[in-house]
Amino acid sequence: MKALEVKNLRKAFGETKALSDCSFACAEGEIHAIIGENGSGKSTLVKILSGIFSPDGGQLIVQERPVHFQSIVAARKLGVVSIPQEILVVPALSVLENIFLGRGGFFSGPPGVEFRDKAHQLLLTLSADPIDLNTSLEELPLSKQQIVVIVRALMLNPNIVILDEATSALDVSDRDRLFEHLRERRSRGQSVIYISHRIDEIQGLADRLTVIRNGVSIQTLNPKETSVSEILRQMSGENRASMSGEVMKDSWKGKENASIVLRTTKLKFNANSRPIDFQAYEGEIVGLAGLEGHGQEIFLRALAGLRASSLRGEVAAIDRQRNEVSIHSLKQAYRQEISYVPRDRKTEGLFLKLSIKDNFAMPTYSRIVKQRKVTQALKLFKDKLSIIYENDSQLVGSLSGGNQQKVVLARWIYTNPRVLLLNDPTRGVDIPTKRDLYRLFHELVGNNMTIVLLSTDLEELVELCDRVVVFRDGGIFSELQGEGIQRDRIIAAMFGEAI
Amino acid sequence: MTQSPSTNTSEVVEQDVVLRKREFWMTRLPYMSVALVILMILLLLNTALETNLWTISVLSGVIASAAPLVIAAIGETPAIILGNGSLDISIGPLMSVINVTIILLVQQGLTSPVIIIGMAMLLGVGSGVLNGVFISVLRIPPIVVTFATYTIYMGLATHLLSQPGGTIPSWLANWTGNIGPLPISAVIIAVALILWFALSRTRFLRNIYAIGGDERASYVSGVPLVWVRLGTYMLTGLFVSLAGLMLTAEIASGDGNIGTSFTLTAIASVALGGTSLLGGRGGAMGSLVGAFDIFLINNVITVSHVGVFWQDVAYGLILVAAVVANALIARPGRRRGR
Repeated sequence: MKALEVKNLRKAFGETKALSDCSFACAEGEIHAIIGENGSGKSTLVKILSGIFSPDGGQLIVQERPVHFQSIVAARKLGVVSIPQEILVVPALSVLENIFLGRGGFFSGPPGVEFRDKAHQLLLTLSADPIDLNTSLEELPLSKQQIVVIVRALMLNPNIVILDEATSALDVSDRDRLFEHLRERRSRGQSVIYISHRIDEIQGLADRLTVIRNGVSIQTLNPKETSVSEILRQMSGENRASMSGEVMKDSWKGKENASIVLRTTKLKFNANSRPIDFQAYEGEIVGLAGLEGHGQEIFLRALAGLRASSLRGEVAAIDRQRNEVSIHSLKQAYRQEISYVPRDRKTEGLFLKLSIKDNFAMPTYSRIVKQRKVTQALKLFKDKLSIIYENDSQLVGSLSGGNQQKVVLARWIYTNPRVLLLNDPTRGVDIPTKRDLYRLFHELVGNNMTIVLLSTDLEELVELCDRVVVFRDGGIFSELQGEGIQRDRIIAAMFGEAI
Repeated sequence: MTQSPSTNTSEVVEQDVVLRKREFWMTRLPYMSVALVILMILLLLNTALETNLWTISVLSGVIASAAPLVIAAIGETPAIILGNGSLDISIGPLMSVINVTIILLVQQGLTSPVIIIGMAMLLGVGSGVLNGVFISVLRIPPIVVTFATYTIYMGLATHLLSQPGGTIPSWLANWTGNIGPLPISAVIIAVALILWFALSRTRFLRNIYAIGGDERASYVSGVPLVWVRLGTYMLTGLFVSLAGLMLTAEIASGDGNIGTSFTLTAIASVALGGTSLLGGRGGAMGSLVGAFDIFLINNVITVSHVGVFWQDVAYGLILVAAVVANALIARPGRRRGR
């Protein structure tokens, strides 16, 4: 029996047709994946399915009955609950209150013991480290906040749960736990609609896969019997080369022939952690890996001059005259031509209420700006990164997530740094865009820029990096080079196993 | 994929817990601790300046005079916790309207507590509905809506009673007195606090905090934003009706301008009491302590006979210092935003 069916769904925003003809069906006891490029209409589809938007046309059928969702609560009553891509939590409230959010009547009291127990059990199932129900959310790392968001939705015990790239902040072991839980739901006859950019995840998890392109559902496939290149071709609608087949390793000269541009000496996160001595060389892409919260992010931020208060030791840039200049602030780092692209574009990266152009040119606004030059430069990046927008005075907040990410990247690349520090730059970015970015990164290091890349996408590290440094327990656990950079070896190191 | 369990991970977690506990003591003082410290200092100062402070009659006089501000501050609290620029500046003139209406009712010979208290509540909650509908349903910024009602109420109050004067029924006048050693004004404050704490166990009040903390998270979780916002302004109005009654008891007559200054002092009390003006954090207890602080600051300045100019300067400086101190202790220890 079909748990949920969508027929010829349409939705337009003014002139823009977000969805023009979308149909698929999700059976009971099925994990159904949906994949599409950024701007293909996935987010609109999810918002219709979760009751936020109402469609312009087409049919929504739940349990064989046509329905209209008037609100999120109405969708929930029919057993359809979605987990959004963004990690939406109330930071000042406790884990329990965040999970209970939006439930109970107007004057009903706090959650009962039964609810607490169930929430506690579910948290234990999904998180490797225990999460206390009474901690406030702001005390938790982002990865655990995402677990809370997932638990909040699952506590409603929905018949159909929709995950809209809702695993992007999870670390590997918690993600596996979630997948295990989703499979268990499937065996109980419940359904999952799973939206992701990660083909490997989809192939491991989903029973069927629907590809969406330009607001139209193209085809429903069996992901286990379809090759990656075929899925990519369906998504893009043209015959692009497979990403994983493409060898993009460039001809980095290697440590011996390159000079050091950035180094840390005896860097320690706290009194007990192991000191880190690290060098980044001119013209290399060095990757930082590790399970969430093992220090790689604190380290990357320290390189950018954003030092945590407990940090000890030295971060220094080696300038063009071979002088060592120590770095204690973002400004000092910027003066040494080190640019940092943060992970959370909404809070750290963009001025959502300013135009694309202002966002792009912001770091250069300390000087007198030649508007025409900026416009030309932006145009260049628009073409190179295929950023999609009407005109550059549009608010950056009106762009899709992937395009916003490109604007942030373009901004910092435009400052023409010697060292570019990237904090998970392709999170939530579709595959063709990823390829555009990878090509750009290679071009940049070809011009002797150094890139330090923190990534949660292992394929990305394997594909791009000349070296990968794996963090564990607040120190460097191991360093992989050249041919030694392999997915399983990175994972082994992340989990503290020597290879 | 390799499975994770290893002893190292749990060590990290333990370390993290120790670290978090330390952070807790450094940064997670009770939100009202600044207001409490100031209260201690002020009580000491007041004791030094006015040695008979700790007698029942003086103390109950102090509580009775402070009570209108205390209750108004408690009333302003939910409107501010709602966040996103939410606040209610109409509360001061609303207190005037309630005061003037009571005097007019008495002039008509209507002195029954049922009628007077009922009328005060009707005005308070009615104002809450008025503000709430414009803010919650029509999505007009709270400062605009409540400034409009502020002016309307001010005009209305002075129009209804052009000359200060009038009398109040004796039952209301007794609100400034005692039952045995217990000041009745303290009971009235207790009523307001009990209402607050009863509500704070309900979804309604927790949802005010949730919306103040993160509006979008509340929306996607199915919190009924419109109803909660409307309810918040009604709740503020309900508290203000009690504050208006207490104020009338205190001055024992009518004055169309009597309430105006309460808007700013109530908002200042809430801020001093540690409630974040950005919403989502704080509470009525803090506002209570904050309101007593403000009352006692005024008291100290008055009894120490400094010039009017220095009074205002000192008052302003203490307020700024207190709000800065609050902001410092409320700052989350380490930014865990990743």
